[in-house]
Amino acid sequence: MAFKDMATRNLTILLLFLLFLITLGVIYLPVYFNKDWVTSSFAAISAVTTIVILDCSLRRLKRIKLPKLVEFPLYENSIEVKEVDFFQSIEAKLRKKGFKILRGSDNLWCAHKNGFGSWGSVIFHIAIVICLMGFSLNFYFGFRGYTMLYEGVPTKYPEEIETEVKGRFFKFGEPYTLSLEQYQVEFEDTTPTRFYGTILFENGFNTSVEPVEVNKPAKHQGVFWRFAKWGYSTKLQITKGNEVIFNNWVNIMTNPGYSFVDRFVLEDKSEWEIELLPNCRRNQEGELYSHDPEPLNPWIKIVQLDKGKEKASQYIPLRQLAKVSEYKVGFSDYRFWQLVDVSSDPGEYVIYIGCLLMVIGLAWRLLFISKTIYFKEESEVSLHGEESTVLYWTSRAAYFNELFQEDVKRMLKDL
Amino acid sequence: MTTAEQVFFIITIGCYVLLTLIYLGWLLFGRSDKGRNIEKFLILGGLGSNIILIFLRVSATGRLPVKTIYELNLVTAALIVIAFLYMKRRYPGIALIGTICMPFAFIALGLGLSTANDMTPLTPAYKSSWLVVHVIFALIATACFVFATSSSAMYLLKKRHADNGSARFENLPSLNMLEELAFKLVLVGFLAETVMLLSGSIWAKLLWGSFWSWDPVESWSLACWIAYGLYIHLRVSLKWRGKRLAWICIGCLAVNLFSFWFIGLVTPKTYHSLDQVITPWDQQENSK
Repeated sequence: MAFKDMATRNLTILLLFLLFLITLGVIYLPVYFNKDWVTSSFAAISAVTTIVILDCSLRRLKRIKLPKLVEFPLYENSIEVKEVDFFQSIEAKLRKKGFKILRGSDNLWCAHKNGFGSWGSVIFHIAIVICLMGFSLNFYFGFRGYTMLYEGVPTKYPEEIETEVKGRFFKFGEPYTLSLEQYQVEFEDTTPTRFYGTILFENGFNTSVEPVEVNKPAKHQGVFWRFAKWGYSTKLQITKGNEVIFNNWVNIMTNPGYSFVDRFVLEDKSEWEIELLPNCRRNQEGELYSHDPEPLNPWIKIVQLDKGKEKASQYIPLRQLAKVSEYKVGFSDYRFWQLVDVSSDPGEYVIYIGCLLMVIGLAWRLLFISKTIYFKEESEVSLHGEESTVLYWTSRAAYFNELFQEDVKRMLKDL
Repeated sequence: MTTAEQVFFIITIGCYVLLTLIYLGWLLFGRSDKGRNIEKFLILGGLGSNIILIFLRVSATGRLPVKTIYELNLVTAALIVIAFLYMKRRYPGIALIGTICMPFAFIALGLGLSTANDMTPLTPAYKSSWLVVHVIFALIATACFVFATSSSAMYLLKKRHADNGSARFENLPSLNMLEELAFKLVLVGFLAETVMLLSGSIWAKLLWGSFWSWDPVESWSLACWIAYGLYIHLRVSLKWRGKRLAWICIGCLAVNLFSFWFIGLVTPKTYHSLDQVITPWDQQENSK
């Protein structure tokens, strides 16, 4: 039994060390390494580790017994009893602190509390298993994807959803359309501070409107729609001679530092680069620049490329036209786009329950430390023949003997 | 940084540096009763000034001090001192652990000052009720781990001299007490770290649609949590004690501080800055 216990404990340490290595490994693995594989391995090893620990904790629980009221081998401390009601005071104080008093034969007694403290560890490890079960439910029955939403433009579910991950048993529900309405961006000191709007869901029979905001996803028929990333779209009209070769919206990528730059190719195979300058200003050298994302004075810089290199470029303010090489480019309007994360997670609430239990289990383990104080009363006669009573005591607490002893000393001193 | 902030910053740093010198003096030359009042004055003055500094920052920015490393470190320094003060009040003989706790507090402040401390408003990603839970528990965990490591370092110092038969550093608490203090604070810190990780992943689900994305900051925090889990299991299951456990405690704090202070420097490509410019989507696109 002892050997099995030891082997299980060593295995726990080994598995935890392996999890530590995998976690650090993920960061520094080459980018082409499949992170899904790492996640699966991590989840599998976590499950095995947790079950091993749970087994260990349960076996330890079995061995926990109430303290025996036999004489303790060593009483480390003593206190001379001067007052008659001293024992009653100790007992009352200990009972007030939640200790149970166990009286043995003659002069032996002990105070004990939190015998159930070890259950915290069991709850914590069961909670990890519950969380992992929630993740499994998401893995087999859930899906995750994304789509672009533009204000007032209907999007079809599920046809226009790019699926990123789809569980083996997941099935898309009834089709419907959705559109982003009343979309607003609020700025504070030129920093975007709030993106919000509503999503209108329609299936031909019913319509419903759900508010949506960053951190507050919209939910419809078990599917969550959350704002993931934002950027600008600009409406361009590009003509070559008298022929309009492009008259549409161009979505521009948002890059770090609020730089809005992207490339696109037209039907005539001409390559272009577009940069939006939302708050365009001129520096001392006369160059145009924008550091702010707020569209206070939007301009675009349009560049015609030849094999990736600049051939011709032009800065164009809103609602203006400019000539770029043999093309005429018009910048007539701008709007925002939103990349929306779409997901269905049937295990989500199972995970939340697991999380809650994890915290409860750990707090339980920490707050309810098993503590026992062993007392022995003895009458002693001094050299002068005076009779006195001495209370010998020793304390034991799970993991914190020394600290608990300090607490008991202080408590007895205060009496 | 406003002028009032500068004044209180200097007062706070000054108090913490002086406290370090007092504790160092007590450690090397023995504790004197004369210095106790000065210690009390400096510790309360420093902590009071630190708390005023936090409030000044809140009033200047109109938001919680949770965005920049400077703001986070203001709170971390205050929490380290609060943890130390609480434990010192509970177990009066442990004041000398301040020899290591206090330098951590002023290093945190100094490190915060050396980084950008601009007063930009919070981006939409920060506007979540989970923000306070996530950040406060992360900082509580760090404060507890700093105290635990200080206790472990003192253990190593005392043990080294005790093994050589020297009576030096007898004024430190007993070896068992130092070890138990470290373990107790690791347990409290582990609970706080767990709340931090769980609240962070629930928030990530609401914000990015995924509980976990293996972002470098996330991964280092998880590595730190597992490292402390290992420490706890080594002590509870394998009954490890003594020097090797103390060294592991110090190693665990190194992992924690790396994930908190330095990961942003070595791995700038993290979406954990929450400016919503780099998101998990960008990472996935880059890894393809």
